[in-house]
Amino acid sequence: MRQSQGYIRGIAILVFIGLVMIIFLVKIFLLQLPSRSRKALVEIAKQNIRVERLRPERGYIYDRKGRVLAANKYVYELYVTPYYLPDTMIDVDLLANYLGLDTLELRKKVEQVYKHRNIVPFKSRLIARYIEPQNAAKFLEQQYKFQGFYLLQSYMRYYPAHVAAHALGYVRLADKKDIEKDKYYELGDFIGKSGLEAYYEKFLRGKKGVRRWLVTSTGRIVGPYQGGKTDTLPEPGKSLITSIDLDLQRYAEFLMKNKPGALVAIEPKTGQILAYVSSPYYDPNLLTGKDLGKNFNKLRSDHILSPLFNRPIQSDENPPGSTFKVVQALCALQEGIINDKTVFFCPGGYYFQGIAIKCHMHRTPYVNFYYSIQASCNTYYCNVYQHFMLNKKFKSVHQAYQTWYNLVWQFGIGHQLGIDLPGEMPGVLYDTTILNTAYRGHWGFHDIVHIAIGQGKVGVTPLQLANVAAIVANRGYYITPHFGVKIGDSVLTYDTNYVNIDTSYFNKVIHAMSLVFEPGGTAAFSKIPNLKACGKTGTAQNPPSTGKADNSIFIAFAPMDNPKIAVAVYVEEGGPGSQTAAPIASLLIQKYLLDTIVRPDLYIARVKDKNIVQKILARENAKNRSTNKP
Amino acid sequence: MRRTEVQINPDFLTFLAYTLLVITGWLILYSVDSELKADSILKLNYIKQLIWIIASLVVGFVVIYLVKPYQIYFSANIFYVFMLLVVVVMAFVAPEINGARSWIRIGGFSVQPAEFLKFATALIFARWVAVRKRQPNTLSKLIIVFTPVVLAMLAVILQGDMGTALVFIGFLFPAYREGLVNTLVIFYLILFAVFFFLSLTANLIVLFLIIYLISVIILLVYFSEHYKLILSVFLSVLAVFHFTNIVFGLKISHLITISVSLIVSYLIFTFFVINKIRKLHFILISFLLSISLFALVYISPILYGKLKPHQKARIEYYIHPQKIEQNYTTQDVSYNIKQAILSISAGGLKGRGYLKGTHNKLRFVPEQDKDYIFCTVAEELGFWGSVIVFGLFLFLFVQIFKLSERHKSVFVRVYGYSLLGILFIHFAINLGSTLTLLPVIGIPLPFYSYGGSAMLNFTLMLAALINFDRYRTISFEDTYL
Repeated sequence: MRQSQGYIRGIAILVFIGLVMIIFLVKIFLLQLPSRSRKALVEIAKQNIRVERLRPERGYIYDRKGRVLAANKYVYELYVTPYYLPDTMIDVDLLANYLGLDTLELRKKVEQVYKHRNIVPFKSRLIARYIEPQNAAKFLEQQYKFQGFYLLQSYMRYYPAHVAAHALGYVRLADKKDIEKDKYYELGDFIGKSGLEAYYEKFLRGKKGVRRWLVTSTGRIVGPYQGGKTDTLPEPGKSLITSIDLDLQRYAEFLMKNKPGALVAIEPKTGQILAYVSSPYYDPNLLTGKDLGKNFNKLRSDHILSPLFNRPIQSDENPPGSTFKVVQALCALQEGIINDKTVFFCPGGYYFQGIAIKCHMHRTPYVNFYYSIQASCNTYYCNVYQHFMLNKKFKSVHQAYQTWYNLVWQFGIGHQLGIDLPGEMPGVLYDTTILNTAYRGHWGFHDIVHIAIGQGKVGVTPLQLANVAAIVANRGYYITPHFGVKIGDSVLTYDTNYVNIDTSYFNKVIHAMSLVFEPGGTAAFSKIPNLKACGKTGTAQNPPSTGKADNSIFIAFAPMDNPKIAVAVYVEEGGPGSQTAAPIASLLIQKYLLDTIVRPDLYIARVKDKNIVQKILARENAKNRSTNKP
Repeated sequence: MRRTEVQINPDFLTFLAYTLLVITGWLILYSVDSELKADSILKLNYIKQLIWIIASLVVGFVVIYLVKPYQIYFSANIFYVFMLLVVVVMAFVAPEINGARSWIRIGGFSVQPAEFLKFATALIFARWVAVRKRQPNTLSKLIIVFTPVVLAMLAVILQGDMGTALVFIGFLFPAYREGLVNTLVIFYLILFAVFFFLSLTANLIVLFLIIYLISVIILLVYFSEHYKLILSVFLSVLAVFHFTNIVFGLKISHLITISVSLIVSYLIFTFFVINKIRKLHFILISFLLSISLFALVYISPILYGKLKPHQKARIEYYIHPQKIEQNYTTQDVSYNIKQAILSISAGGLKGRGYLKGTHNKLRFVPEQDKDYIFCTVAEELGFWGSVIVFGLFLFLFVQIFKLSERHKSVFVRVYGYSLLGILFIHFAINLGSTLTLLPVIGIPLPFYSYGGSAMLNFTLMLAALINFDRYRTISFEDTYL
């Protein structure tokens, strides 16, 4: 009896063991359910597999003749594997000396590594970037002194031509925001941040390769994951051929030296941009390598000259001045407000309901159509605009303005042209709705009269000005201005945009514009011998309170019959258009079409010694000094 | 006595169970450590383990075939004293490794004498119980036979090895089998252990509900003929308390409601239902239970506050396992538990394939060839592989049960159950820790974890049992007196 009771207890013990085993198995089963298992495998892969991204070389950027504008330079990155570090501190001063690094900064980093050397000791830490090859060579000779340290080759952007900073833009290391936005990037990758580098980023950056390693918990590599079956090689970025003409670009920058403003040259037939200057410009190599941040802050903090301001596409509140008369003349001709025989009397100014707009002295007070452009008569265009706006064929000023607005809009004014650069501004051109809102519906001709001569409620970017020149050169159409000609092997195509104005009117305006370079014309001094060029000067006034001189503007194209280049030059505080902008445009056209400077006197007289930057700095400094006085 | 004539061949099935466990164990160990490289093959864990296995087999066969049972039986006391002395002396002189002074290095091998203390304790316990088999099971007998067990436990604690000390709980198996402790005591012990862990951070109300339910169940089991009465008393008392609570708007907490109703129902039940003899016994137990549980609930948070951060984290993750999955990468104290669970989950039902479990092999799971060896089984062989491994262990447990029960001597039966208890406690604590069903306690999985002393000790203990089994028709304690 007692024996059997004990046996039952023995069975009870076995049952208890069985129950515990079942509980364990249920727990294992729950842990290993397919949904959990899948999640765990993903997590395990994250820890077991080190994914090494192989960075492709960034695509080069070339000018129209295949000369390199942006390239890559080999540099080295310094890494350290804590596991191999000697127990005593290495000679940091010597290392810094060999590699040309800042000793203090290096010491701080190396000390950090020493401090955390036991956390994943086989995982390498990046210590420094942008080590020049000659420094790397010095290090490699003495590498035995720095156990645990090694170099890896990497790329750095380099601009061998040192020009066109505003067109090319710059690249820098991707930050957290970039990485969040686009999964392509990780820490240490470069990303195009402005200009063509940013616009064509997806092509230039290439495709990364992947190498997967099995690693232990200490970070030591065991071998390739799945024998390297899943590894891929990087695909280098595609190269970009741009329309920039390096010689012309160099010359354009040379001309714009010390003159804040912008210069854009377009090939009218194709819309390709030949030269693109935003002045003051800087060497694009300033924004590469380890000094990028420092230089960038320096450039950004210059609030007087704003060298980072991309004037050709962003300076859109500047009035076009008299260059706008070309557009006004075409619109008026198209709407039948005037014809080429229309004459207005100029008493030296235009007066309307208490508004007085002065005109400058010209040869005769009886101004005909051609002479109005040649001599840039303000009165003439105020009258033209008055006849346009107050014309009987329109029900009201509002309707007339809207008709005019629709025509001007087609010239690419008041909206983005769609150039292949980020950050393009639309310019200023209000339609009736906006004006109605601003004036609460009550506005008339006297509110908009200054538009007649390109002042007041109109603003264009220098790119739009150059585009207007291209439209006139093409006699009524333009191709979206652009830099990109070819990316990789594919040729890029762009839209053709037409302006609804009869070609015959263009020919009349072109004839008038050609007279601008003739005696009696505003740019007669800038005439190019043996070349029929067309142009139009402009002088935009700055508010008198600022103490700034007038902005000098000039648009031009040449040759007249088969235009190969259209230029817009905008020089801030350059005085009348004929004084600074016209000579620059003339010299640029000479350089491009004749390949020689046939008027070196023009350069010496009007461009060489004109240091507007100095003037501005002197004025601003004086202003600061006076405000700082107690 | 004709000692030689009663020899029977060694039990094949037990040997088979042992062999299968050792072979699978070594294969798993090989898988875990196959990525390791060493300058000499003698430094590789799986080679060292292989040497230990061969040595164990040799010693095992010697014990099975060449040793006479009386030699073991009579050397039990001396063996125990010797091992106890070694362990105690080591507690003062051995170098400290991982907080415990339990290792001696001999040649290239580390030996853990505390392992053999288990064997010695099992022998002396079995002998003392067997000698007193005709005495009634009184408290004094219980104290006498458990003295060597408690001494061994204290010696191991002195070494600083809490894990090994817990193994001696396994002696409750033979004690229970022999009627030294009754079912109620076992129940209360289990209850106590459960509540100790639960009360550390769990919600008090939940805790009291569980107490209430378990008490009902115990009473139902114990006085099954009165189950209707018991249930109605408990429910009505609880209902009355809740009713008064609601009607009078008393803001008495659930905690007090439930515990008061628990005590009151015990009183009612014991006064009116149970006969006089059992009454006193039961009132005493119920009061003791209530008071000690109360004490536990209020004391344990204080104890908890005194724990070290890593111990707290172990318990924290034990009670709130969902926290484990929130962050796999943080290198905090929970890292070990997280990685272990991760590798088990990764195995899925079918496993990742033998030699293909990267997470253990690449040493993300800590102690992957020792305390967490089961992770590799789960990762590489999956759920079905785990079932097979469990099956092998169960096979061995049943064999030990069989051998113990069919022997004529009480000594062998007690010894067999001791072995069963020790093996099972190893198995349960190791897997319980690995699977987060218990707070993490470092203890090896028999035949699987890397470690020569444990391998040798378990082989010896099993060999001794097989040896005894060859003389199963003899009652040792009667013959050898």
